[in-house]
Amino acid sequence: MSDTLLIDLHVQYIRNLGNNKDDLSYHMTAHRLINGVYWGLTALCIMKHKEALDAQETIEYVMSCWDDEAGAFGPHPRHDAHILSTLSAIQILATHDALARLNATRVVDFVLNLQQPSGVFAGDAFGETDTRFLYCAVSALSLLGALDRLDRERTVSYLASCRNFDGGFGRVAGAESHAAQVWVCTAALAILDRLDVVDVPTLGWWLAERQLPNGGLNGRPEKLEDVCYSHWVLSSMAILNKLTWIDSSALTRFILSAQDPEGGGIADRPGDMADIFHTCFGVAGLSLLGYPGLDDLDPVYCMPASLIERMGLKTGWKALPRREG
Amino acid sequence: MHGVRRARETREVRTARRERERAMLSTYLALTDDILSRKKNKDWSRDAFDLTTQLLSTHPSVTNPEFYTVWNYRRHILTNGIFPRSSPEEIKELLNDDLAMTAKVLKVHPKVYWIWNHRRWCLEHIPDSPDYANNQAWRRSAWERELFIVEKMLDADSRNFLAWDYRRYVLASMPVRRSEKAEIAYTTKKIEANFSNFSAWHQRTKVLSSLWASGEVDRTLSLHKEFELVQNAMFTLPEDQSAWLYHRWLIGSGDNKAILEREINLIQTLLDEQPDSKWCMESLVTYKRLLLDNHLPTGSQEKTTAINQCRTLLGQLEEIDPMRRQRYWEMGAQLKV
Amino acid sequence: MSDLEGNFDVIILGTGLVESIAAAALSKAGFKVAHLDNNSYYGGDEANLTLDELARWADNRSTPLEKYEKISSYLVAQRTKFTSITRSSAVPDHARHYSISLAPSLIPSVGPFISSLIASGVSRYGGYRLLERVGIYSSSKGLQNVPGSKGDIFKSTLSLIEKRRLMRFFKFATGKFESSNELQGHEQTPFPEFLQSKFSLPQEIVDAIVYALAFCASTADVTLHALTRLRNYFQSAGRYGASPFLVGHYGGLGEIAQGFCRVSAVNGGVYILDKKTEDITPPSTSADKFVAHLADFPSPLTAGVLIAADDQLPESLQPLLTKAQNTDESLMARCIAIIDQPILFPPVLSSEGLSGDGVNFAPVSSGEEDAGGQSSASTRLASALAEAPLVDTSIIIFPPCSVEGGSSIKVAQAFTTGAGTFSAPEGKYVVYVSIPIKDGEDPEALMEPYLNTVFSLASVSEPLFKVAYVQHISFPSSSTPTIDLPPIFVTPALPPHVAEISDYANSAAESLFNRVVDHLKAKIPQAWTRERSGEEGGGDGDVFAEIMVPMWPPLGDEEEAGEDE
Repeated sequence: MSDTLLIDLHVQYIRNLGNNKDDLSYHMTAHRLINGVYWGLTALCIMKHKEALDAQETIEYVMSCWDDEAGAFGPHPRHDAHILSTLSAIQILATHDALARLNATRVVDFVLNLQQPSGVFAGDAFGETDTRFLYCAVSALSLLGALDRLDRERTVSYLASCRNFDGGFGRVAGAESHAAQVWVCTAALAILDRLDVVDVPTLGWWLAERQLPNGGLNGRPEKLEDVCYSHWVLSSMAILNKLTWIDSSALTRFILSAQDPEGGGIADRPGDMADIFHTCFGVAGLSLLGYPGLDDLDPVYCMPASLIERMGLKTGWKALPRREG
Repeated sequence: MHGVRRARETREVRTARRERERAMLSTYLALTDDILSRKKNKDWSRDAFDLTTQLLSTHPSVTNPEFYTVWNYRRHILTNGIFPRSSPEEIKELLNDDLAMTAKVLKVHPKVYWIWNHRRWCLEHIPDSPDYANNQAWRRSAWERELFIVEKMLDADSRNFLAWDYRRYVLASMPVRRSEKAEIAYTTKKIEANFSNFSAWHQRTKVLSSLWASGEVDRTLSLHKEFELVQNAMFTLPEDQSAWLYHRWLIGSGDNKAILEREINLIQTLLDEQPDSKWCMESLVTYKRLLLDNHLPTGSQEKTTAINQCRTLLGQLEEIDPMRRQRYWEMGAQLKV
Repeated sequence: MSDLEGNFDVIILGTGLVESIAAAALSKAGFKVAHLDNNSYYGGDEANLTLDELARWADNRSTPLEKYEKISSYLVAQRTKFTSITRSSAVPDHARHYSISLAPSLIPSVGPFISSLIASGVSRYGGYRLLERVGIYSSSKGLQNVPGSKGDIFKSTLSLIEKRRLMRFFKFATGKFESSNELQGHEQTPFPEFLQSKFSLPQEIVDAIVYALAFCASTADVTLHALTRLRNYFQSAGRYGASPFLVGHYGGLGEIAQGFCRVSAVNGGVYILDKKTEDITPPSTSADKFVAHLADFPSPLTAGVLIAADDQLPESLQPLLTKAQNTDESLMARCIAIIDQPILFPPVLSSEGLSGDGVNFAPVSSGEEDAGGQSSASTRLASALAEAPLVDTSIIIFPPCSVEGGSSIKVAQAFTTGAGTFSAPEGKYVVYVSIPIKDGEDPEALMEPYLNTVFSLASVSEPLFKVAYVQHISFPSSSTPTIDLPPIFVTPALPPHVAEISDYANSAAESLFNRVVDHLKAKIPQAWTRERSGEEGGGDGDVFAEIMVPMWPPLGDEEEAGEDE
């Protein structure tokens, strides 16, 4: 177990992921490949190793995922477009300063067409709705500078209908509060500048109670800890300016203990197999906790903070001060 | 990779695994390539449909129910190719087959959104019965079976939030709606089986709100019963968050002074019995603050006493729950006489 | 049988549970075992009998002997082990549809016995059912359910404060109490006193914990032992269902003993039942083995080691044993009654567990159906929930002073099985009532108030059939080794406690197994290594000594796939 972040190992781990094309699992998970690229790229940026993945190659890969029939991006060439993969594509292109490559008009139309009468968004033409998709829509429109075309009222009113008595938000109206859905909802509200919809003291309390005695965070009451909540919970707390309400050193220790000290990468909890999803969210959490030597993460967009600031999209979130190495 | 234990793979082991997987990989790539090519060519044939069945569910070695593009394609084949030349009975049969198939796949992949989604699509595409009079029963059976499936899924994992969300969807969409009181009974059953199941308590908040709003259940009477139920959980296991959260929902904005005082006294009894209970202290502070804000006159002796009690409790909380110390400190600083 | 086939490593006399487990283990380890029993049935004092067999069993041990009547030494021994036997004169109809256990027992879901059941493969031969209910009786409140889990406490009718205190105790008892402040210095305190002083529990709850959860035999049982037992039971709960205990189908232990014999037979054990052993001669200067002559048997059996139940050892060999100097004898008054109504338990609120399902040695999971069978399963579920369940398999504890006219110091138990364990026809129940008794006390008078209470709980006035007797259990008071020259190993008596008997039997069999293996290693290594080491041509004593002989060799994957967790 290591008590420092093994940056070189993680960079190597992320770089190697692209070399696994002989593995069955690489192809079996193609339906979320573009999300994997986004997680890897974001983790690299936060660890100040953006150069570890070839920018041009990455951009070309993203463009190869374009689904011309739908006018948006799929997770892998020949896969159907979906709002999840579309946001990842936009995030990757934005990170590489290559948003000019995409047909913004068509993407914006794709996104806007997914909004339902209730204000929620579907993920694709088949109509599954989820506040995750609503966030994807809001974030994508914001990154593309097209928020003014969104029906804000309806969007916010759907978010408000998902709020529960415990301050949290669920997947759809009526659903139980879940830390991942709390993040998509508060982040969407932050982008829409409507945090007044949030009951901050109650939600801050609910989020603080996600920390378990071992330092890790769970996603719902009476559930197990998991490194991915380092992002869902912490980013929500950063947006509400409540990061001081948990024990940051205990959480830092927990995230570090979930690293794979030989192969690199971070797992859901100590001793488990590392994957790119938990690697990204573990690193994201450490950045918000002020871990030394990392770049700032913007908790609203889950992208490098400097980039979001440059794009003029920074909102009023607050991370813990960066500690000296 | 949730919950998969780490295993170190040596170079030899990896080479051996790739060797083993080579045949599977080429089968998988050939199958997916075939399907995606047919999809591009708008092949709506039964053959194409059967290939999607293989990939999503029945192939002996390379099924992948997470490949949502193939679910999408399957639905396109049904609506564009197969339904137009099928009778309503045949369509119903096809959809029933898909429901049976997804039920099997769900057992192995209970948290794959795409599978739940496909069931939903199937249910929503059950055609009207050709026999108009029979229409109700024809649809009803499908939806009731759906409720049974979702109960099975919740028996296997009573916290599966996809299953709970789907349950709410089914309850709201059934052609013949079930009484909400039956849903209260269901949550009681789940809570009695394990009262740490917050998902069941949450469901209760939603169903009861609706029953109160419709006037079907008297709020005052049922509130009394709900307090009794949740008190059992609080006293049995005061460290269990689920019960305290539900209790907080019952208290709500604390506009009923009598209830507020009664519950404060009861929690104080529990705290006396279990002096290290964080949730007792935390709830006492919250409820005393509601009392302060809503019911105690400014400047009164009662108010000063309550504030001092809150301060003491917050001080104790800083000691016994240091992880959240800062929050307690801030709450204490906000208390004004 | 050829001369060669008559040569064994071990002869075992008696097919009681301990002998049967040992026979299976020795056979599986590669030893040649001949297993003999005077009786026509398996199981010895742990046997299951049909009602007519039970009647005959009782008569054989109680009918006064004619002056010159000569009976076997086995029956002589049995007549001192089982005394004061009475029975109803008429045996009811369908006598063969009953399976009555001479040693009624609960099997803890975690422990050495269940591990042996699984590791040996015996679990596949029979079915098991979860104990549905544990009840405690008091004259003031009647029959009450005993809370055994967090969920039970939540649902119970205890006051809020009692719930808190009881749950606090449960957490304590499932944890590492050995190092706790509460226990320090109180390890030997009587358990009830400890519960009252350290957990402020009221008498009623103390009784439930002491007698119905920890199965203490008296108020004097000490805290550390009771807590250790209780933690075992808590750890057993949840493995196969809510209850920590399983009950074997068809009467339980006798059926299981037979299963172990079957495993032994599959591994080469030779079985000879219902044959009179005419004589067994010990090893001597002229022969280095035991030689057993059986009536109507062409050639004698020989073996280097003899294992025997104490009552099956031929008289001629008994002087060879150094008898333990003193033996403690404990007496248990027992009654087996057949009734035709279930015992009525109070309901457990709304969610009655569907505990009637059989147990198939896999961890608890929801038995899901294929989509096709849903509607029928759905109706089954609904109807199961609609009708108040009849409790089929249960145990009721009667603490001291709980029954008018009953004992003020003793604990009685009533264990009931029904058609759910295939031990009685549909609608009939077998009730085993037991209470410890002292020499000179009148067993019938002692038993009567408890029997009447049980009958009233089932709303019956008279049982269909009844057998009552006193069982004498002798334990050597000091740990005198029973191993001697010649190598005769006598199996120990089993304790009469319903929840302890199976694990105790397993430990006894394991210790027997190890001692026999050690002996065979030392005395006749060549006999065994030849067989086992094959072409390596072993036989060297030193090499042999390094071979660890496990009680249950690892099972082949294919054979046992899915049996264990």
